[in-house]
Amino acid sequence: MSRRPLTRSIARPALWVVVGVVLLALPYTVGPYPIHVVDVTLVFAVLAIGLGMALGLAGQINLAQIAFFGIGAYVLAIVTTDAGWGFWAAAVVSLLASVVAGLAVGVPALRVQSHYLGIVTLGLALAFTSWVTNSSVTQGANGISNIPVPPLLGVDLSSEYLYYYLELVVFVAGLAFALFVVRTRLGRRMRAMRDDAIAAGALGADVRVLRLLAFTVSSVYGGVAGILYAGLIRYVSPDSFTISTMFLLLAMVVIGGRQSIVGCVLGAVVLSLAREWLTDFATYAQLGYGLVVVLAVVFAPTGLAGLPARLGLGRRRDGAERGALHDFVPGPATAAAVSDAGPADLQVEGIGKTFRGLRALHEVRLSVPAGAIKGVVGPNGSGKTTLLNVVSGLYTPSTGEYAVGGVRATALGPTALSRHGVARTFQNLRLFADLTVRDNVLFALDRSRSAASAEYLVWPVGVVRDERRLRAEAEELLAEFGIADFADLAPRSLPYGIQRRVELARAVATGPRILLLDEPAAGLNGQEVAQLAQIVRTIRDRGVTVVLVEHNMGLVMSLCDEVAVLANGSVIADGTPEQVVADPAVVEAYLGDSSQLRDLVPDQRTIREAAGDDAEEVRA
Amino acid sequence: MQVTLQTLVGGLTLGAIYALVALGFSLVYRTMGLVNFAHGQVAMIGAFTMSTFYMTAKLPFVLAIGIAVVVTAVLGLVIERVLRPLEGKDFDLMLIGTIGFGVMLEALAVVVWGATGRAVPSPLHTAPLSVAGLKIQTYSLLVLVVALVTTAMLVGFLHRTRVGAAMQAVAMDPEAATSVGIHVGRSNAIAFAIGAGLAALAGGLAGPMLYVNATLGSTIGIKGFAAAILGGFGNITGAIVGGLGIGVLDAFAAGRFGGYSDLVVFLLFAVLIMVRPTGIFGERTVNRA
Amino acid sequence: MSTDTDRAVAAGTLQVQNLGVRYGGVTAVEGSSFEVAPGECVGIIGANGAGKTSTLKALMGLAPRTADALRLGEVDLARVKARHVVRHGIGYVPEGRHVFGGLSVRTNLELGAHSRRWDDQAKATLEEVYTLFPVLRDMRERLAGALSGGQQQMLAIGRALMSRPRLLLLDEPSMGLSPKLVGEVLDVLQVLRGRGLAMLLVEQNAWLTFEATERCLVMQNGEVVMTGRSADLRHDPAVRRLYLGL
Repeated sequence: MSRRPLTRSIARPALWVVVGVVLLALPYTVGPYPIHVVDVTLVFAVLAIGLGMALGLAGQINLAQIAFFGIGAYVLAIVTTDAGWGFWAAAVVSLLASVVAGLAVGVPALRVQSHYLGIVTLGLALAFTSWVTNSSVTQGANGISNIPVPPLLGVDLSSEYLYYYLELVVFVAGLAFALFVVRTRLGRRMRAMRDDAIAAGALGADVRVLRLLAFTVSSVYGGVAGILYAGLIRYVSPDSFTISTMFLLLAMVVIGGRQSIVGCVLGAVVLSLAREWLTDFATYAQLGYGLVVVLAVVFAPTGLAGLPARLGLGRRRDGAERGALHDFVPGPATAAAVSDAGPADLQVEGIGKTFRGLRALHEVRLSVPAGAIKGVVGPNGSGKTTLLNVVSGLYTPSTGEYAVGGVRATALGPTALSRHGVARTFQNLRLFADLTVRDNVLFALDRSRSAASAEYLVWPVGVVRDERRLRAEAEELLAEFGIADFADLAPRSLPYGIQRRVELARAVATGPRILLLDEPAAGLNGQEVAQLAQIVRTIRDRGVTVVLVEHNMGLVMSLCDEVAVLANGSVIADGTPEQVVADPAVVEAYLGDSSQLRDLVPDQRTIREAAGDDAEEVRA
Repeated sequence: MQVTLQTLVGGLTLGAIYALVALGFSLVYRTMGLVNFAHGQVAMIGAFTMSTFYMTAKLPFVLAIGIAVVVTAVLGLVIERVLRPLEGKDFDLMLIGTIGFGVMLEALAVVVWGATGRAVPSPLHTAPLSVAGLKIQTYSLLVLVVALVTTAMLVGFLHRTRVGAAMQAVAMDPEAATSVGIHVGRSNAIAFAIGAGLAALAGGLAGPMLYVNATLGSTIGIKGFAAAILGGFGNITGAIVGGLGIGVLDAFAAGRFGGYSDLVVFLLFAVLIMVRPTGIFGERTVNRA
Repeated sequence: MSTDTDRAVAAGTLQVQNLGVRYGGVTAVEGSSFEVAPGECVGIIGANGAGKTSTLKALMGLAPRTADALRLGEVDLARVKARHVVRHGIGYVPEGRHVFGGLSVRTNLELGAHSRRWDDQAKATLEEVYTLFPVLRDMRERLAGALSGGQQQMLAIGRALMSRPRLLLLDEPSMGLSPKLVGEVLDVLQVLRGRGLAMLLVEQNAWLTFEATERCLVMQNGEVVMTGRSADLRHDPAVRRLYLGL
């Protein structure tokens, strides 16, 4: 499924100027009814941007967007008519109400995702409908009329022509803010979370905060759209906030292209106009939306915004042809990335892990001294990856404790561990597939907290400044890791060996004190393995402890200071490579019955020779 | 007490309908990993088809439902064919695609049967049974019995027949199933057809209880979906328990909170799901690598 | 297994020429060629990621493959759909066992015969499997997922035998098993070998492979780098290098 990243390099300014002129001149060219249609369209465009932020950008199935819209409109109506507040004061209240609703709907997202979240949010949208159609405060099915005209410095906003300009300002501001978010760290984090929430969490993004933020942002757009709608129509009734309107909104976002904010706007415009033209054939229009959504999903999952790329217009580059993987040349960026706190040790005390009665780890004791490279080896299914998942916080151990850098870490989650200096790579490469290589690294370099995203509102300049600094660092790091040629490409389009290198760069970018590598040599050729050894050694020398889970015994023997061997979930040997490899228990675990394979058990001389040889090879 | 029991019976009857809907959801999900948001609309098509044969063609009720089940199962095969590219794919796409399909079916129903809908008379004219002062509609009993028998037949089919066992095998491990010679695509199609048939049965039975119109699908679809999730998605027992649970909850909420019943049911549902995201009996996930 | 009478199963040689397997951009197997004669037992050894599992999956049609030739006797396997491979007499025991955990042991075995009619002969085969693995008879009404690792391995082999194959593809039957259980797996393989069943055994456990097979292929980075008699490879330091990196 090809998705296009939200960030585009730079939109062509000329196009924007033309669009701007058309938008400004539009009221002068249309009659009173068309301008009404345009005004409604703009409301839907704002609404669609909000849904696009939650659904497309952050991957949160939000079917309650219609409720945020409704709450914005209804609270405004109630506060202006019942309480007699002024329009703008009421607008502030209704925006707050929408945000509260957004947070409330976002809470379930902390526990459930995908279809579960879909049904919960849809249920909450129905709950809202149930409230407005029954409550006396909302005047039930009759709705609330007599909403006052918003006053604005003597401008008569009861004219839909003038109201258009108010909407235009709000819409442009909303679009600009959305694009700003998309192209800076918050948007990058959300996209990373959408692509792979586990990897995002393990690299230090607080996924829970991000999910709540996604719903909050979405609800702000919903609330603003509701306020604009109430000010425009000056009447609200349950009919405007039904589930079918929600599905229409969904269709706008899908058809436009859910992962492009501009696409969402495009979808809103196209479908709003289509709905207007087909207003006499509502049923057939409905049939049409349904059909188009199905077709879009099956044949064009990236929507209108993704069409150019799917049709092969635009940039299409094959990663392998475009550049070369250069040697790793450690420099200031690598040094800067590595944490100042120095290498951390890892102490594992009697860790056990059981899955539904199946024992994957049993009483594992392991000590990794600060600054060492420790190998963890063992046959397939011996529990190596499970152990790595435990000490990186992805699994909670059934028994036992572990400490990183002297701090008890058993109860910390992956995100807290990442902030504590634990970085890891994954056996099956968990790169963010739809982020560029640069964004993958930028994501990891950015150590700010998602909760501090208030900066976007309070001091956007700070965000821009940080972004510049991060980008400069990222460029250097990419160059030092020899992957600068691929910075603008999606990892998916790159050969496997390069993807491995990118993942390593990403892990180092988090500023680790201890680096956990899960089979980093799998799928690499001999030359790439030698380069990997050099990189790992350099990173260690800069002050990072390394734990290496690996099958490539040549790499383990030449690289590791110590090796622990797992078999059937227990440590059966632990010591220097020479000691471990001569241990009959190890040979048996790997090769089978060692007494029958006497010829294959190495003697000390060959071990020493081999170790010496390998060291020479890598140095050369 | 009297009122409570009366409400309970009403809730269980409604719950039996939700349970049948949930059963179809779960069967399709556990066999092919497809979350079909159009399932409720399939049930609605079933209800309309039944009403046409029952009210317009004047066929016996049972026969009308039987025809509706067959017609809808065939429709299910068509839908499965169209949605096949989405199976086991990105959940968002699947969700949006099936929602789109649901919107289409709803519009189609309006085109074919009109927007006003119809009230289907009960096929049983016997007086309500009086049990310990409770009045129980005979139709309620019929619905409960049918739901029970259907579930038993489904479980029997899945566990006692070759085709059923093969379907379960596909759900657990498509690759291993292929290697022993099972046709995964055909198995999925059968599952979808059975799921659609179950939906039609639910819709048909709901006919005389609820007003049949185009929005019937979203009403029983969303409740049925909630029931499936509450019981543990993909879990047969869970679908039944979840369905009855939502039905009873619905009935009591309607009794106590009137028009706000949806509000109460869905707020409670949201809370329950947060407490226990995998449902009462746990999710039966499909194997997706 | 006794001889098959109810249908003509190709009993020919498995011929593989220039097999390649690619997943997206990743090459798992490249240019590997080998043969397995009727009744012959051949092993494939090599480190993790060498392409052993992909080779078996490619033979089963479960992985995207290219080959100059992929034949079993007269049958062109390249043109056979994955679900029909079993009908040509190939049984498959996947890596990690992959039994149908939510179904009973008996149902698992019955599904093994899904490609055949459930007749007296199938019932006889079930009895044979129960005789070979008495533990499965004892546990026949238990859910397969509730069995121990070793029992699941027996079940996976039993399930494959239910189709009465001429060639059995086994992927890491020793994975995650204790040395004692590995010994039991070997015993089973010896019995099957004695019955004239051809086998292609993918293993990380070199000892098991050498004991159970006549010939071995050694794979590294997706290619067959060495072939030889198992008895010779047993003493070959190159194998040690492959496994222990020395």
